[in-house]
Amino acid sequence: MSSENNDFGDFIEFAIKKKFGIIKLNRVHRGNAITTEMAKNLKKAIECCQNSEKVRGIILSGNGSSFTTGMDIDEIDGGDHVAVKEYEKTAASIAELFYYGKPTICAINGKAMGDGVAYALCSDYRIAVRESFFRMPEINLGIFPGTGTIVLMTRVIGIPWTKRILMFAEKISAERALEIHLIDQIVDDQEDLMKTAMDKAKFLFTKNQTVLNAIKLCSNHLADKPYNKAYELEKIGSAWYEYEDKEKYLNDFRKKFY
Amino acid sequence: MSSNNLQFGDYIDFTIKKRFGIITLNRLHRANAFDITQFENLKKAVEHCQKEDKIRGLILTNNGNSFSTGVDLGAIDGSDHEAVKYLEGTAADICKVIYNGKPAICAINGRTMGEGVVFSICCDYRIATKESFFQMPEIFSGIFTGTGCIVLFSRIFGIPYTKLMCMFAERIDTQKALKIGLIDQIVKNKEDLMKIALDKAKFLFTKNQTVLNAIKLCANHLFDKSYHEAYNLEKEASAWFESSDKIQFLKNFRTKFE
Repeated sequence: MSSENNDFGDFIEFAIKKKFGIIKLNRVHRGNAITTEMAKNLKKAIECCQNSEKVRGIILSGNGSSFTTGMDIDEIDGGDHVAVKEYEKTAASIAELFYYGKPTICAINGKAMGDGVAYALCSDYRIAVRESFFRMPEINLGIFPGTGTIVLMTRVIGIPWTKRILMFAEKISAERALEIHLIDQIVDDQEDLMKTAMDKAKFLFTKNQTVLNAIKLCSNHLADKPYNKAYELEKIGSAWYEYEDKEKYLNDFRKKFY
Repeated sequence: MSSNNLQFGDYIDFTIKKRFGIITLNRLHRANAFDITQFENLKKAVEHCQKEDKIRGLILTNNGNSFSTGVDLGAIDGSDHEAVKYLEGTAADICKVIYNGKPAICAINGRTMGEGVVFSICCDYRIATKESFFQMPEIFSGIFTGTGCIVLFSRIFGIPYTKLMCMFAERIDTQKALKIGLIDQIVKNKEDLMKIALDKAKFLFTKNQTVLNAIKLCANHLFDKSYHEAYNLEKEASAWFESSDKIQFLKNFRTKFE
């Protein structure tokens, strides 16, 4: 496949397979901890997938034995609230792109902390290797986990587990993560991980993309609305075929949830 | 601590440990069924914890082997609508103060019915001894469970279990309660119960209180707002460090959810 401007810096690997953009976090010597620069490049890679007509979805994964340990606290001092906030802005817009955009599969190759947990939450299917775990250590450092994490977490796994993870910094094993719907599937090793992710991508890219994207938007956004309002929106979803330009239809539909 | 002897009247024991106010339900001759005096005194104790700067959270627990058997129907005339309304109003106020206030831990020893379930649901971490159980018997007497009960149940453990408990009066044992998110932990006996509750209190009181309280408010209240409205509120919370007066910041932030 002809890759256009697919250079997103040293720490983001990018390829297209099965019409899915495969984005890999690649800063292995630091457990895939994310710097400000790397977050910006990750955002660019995701935007590239959203804007390219050839790409139907995204697989997000990591190299090495960590998915990501979150914001790199060597680069950004946790006590420097202004720097943290600047980083947060990029991280929050990444979460938003995933939550509103094309179908996303998260292939978690090891420990996931901070943003790693947030990105798993906003993806549509989450697969993790057995030895993965999830943790938000922010409260120990007096950092507020503000990249849309609480918004997403309460929606996806509910209030009680949100509190255990954020107020009590509980470490969540892959087994537990499956139980509470933080992930959807556990696999034995890295090989199975990418194989399963590609199978799911294949399932998705062979389906009607307008319907698929409309289902995703409705699933993510109808639960917080009164029944009648939610149903009005669902009706727009189900009338997709009445619109000639499907691209434009989806863009307009998406805007209704901002 | 000098305030160890603070009294809130009949049926409520109060002491302070680990900077947490320990509120103990104590109306043993009626298996900890609530009468109006106990509701009023509980409300005073809960409000005291919110106002007192030295107190960073509360633990709600019980003497004897019932956490609470709900409203004492022997102490109130069910056909006296004014009295019932006043009773409900007081109970609803207690729920609101716990749900919107400082971190709260519920340490449950024994059967928990009616209002007892509702008070435990508002708390942020719920621990129960293994023989405890939970039940809402109101439907048998044709009483509507109206103290914020359904609001809280459907948020905390979802619509299906809300119906099983309130429409079908199903009795929930601790294993099931743990599974559905009605409690967070099961312990063997009463000694373990207070030990774990105090451990959790210790974890919380040593953390940044502004961040902790902001996380609690977001966890409880962002879920029912649209993504963008919710995220804008989360952003206000993550900017907590910009306010010079943290107490005032939390007070203002709290009013956004009232």
